Amino acid sequence: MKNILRIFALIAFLSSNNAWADDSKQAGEYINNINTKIIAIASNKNVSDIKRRDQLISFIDGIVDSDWIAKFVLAKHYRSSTDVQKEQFKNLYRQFLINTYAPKFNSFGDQRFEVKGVTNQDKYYVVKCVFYPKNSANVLVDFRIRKNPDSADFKVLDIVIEGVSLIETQRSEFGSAIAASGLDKFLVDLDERVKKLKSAPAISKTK
Amino acid sequence: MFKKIFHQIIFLLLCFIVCNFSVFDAFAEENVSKSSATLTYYDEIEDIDFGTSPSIQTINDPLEKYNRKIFSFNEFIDINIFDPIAKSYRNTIPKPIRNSVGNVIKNLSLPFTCINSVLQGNAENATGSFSAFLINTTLGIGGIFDVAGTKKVEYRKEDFGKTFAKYGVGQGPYLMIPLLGPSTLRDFSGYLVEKTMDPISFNKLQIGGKEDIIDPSYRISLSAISALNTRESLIDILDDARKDSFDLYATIRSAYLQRRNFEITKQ
Repeated sequence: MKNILRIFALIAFLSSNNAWADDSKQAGEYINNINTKIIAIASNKNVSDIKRRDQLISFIDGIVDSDWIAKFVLAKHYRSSTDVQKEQFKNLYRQFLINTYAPKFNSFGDQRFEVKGVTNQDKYYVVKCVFYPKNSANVLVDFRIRKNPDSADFKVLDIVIEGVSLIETQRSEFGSAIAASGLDKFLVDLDERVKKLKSAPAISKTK
Repeated sequence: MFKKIFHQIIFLLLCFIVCNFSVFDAFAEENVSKSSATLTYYDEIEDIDFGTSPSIQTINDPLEKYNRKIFSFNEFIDINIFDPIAKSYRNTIPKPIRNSVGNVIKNLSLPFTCINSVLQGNAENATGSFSAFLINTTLGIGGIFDVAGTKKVEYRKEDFGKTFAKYGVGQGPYLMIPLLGPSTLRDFSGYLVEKTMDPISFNKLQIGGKEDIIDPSYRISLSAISALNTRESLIDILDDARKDSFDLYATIRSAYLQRRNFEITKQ
């Protein structure tokens, strides 16, 4: 009986390892695919700058879990905010996130990248990549992702560039801004910023 | 006379800072929210109980009120002086020449990378940085050409701040240094140690038999070129941060501390 239990335990262990290995592989492939897609959009010279910007915004909107990130960056202020404020922040933050950062990927057109490995942190995966810009030093970029509980698709939660986490930095920045002037004022500022971003012309490549 | 007094002030300041590490660290304990373990990096969000959850990033800024004033001063100087000069430098000097200037500056820092690697017990990095210095100084004509880089001689930049960290010295409070920018007590102490020892800076160890082995005007020029090279490399990052941030001071503080933590722990 003990031997049978041991065999079952072994099978269960091996199965869980296989499942983890499959998910890790999928996580690596997922990041490989989205990086390839971003580079393809950024290097497409057959569309206008504005069209390319819109394509990048639309693509990034589809791969990030902006609701999750919104909660994370608002941190302790999330709990103390009203339902209306929560909804308003989530909507504004999503617009802010995609309109601020997606156009920056426009400079990815001439880059190569490589997925160097995947580590598992409980429900989350960290996909480690190296980007090789043409005229500057290599850049280490970690993508933190997890499977969406509803759809089983991966979603990006954070991008960590050379050790600097996007959402961690925003959490600190937003927390400081809210502490200085309150959440209502911050929401007004965020709304103004989003309007400004949406009316901004297409971003040119950095030098 | 003035120079002697200045050197003594620097030396006393250094002694004061190093002696006060433990005091500052003790003070810091009261102002720090402890970092959560890596494995639970994102987990705390699941219960949405942010009020009792620990802050993820360790922010130790008891001097924030004063730091922000210095930051405002630095911003004023940077926007009106350094930033326009750096952009003119980028727009008028061809990239190959700027790269060569950057290579020379980087090459001059390699002996300190080597020394710090030895102090950290990292023989591989010490060898790599020493080899790169020899190759670039000779074949690279004083460091103008990064021959070692093209030959894939690998090393990682090291400094005294990182060496102090390896020996267990806490980072101390976050500091905003006039004209220099973000730092911590540990990093700024490391910076002063390097400047005090550097033969082309204060040279207090009298390497070469005397303190002034290069003319003070060359020393100032070299510092200015080094600062210009650094500022030019930060143009895009700072422009983006100024445009995107709701609180630039907090953004720079968070990014600086994360970056330094990454540099210290990634080995």
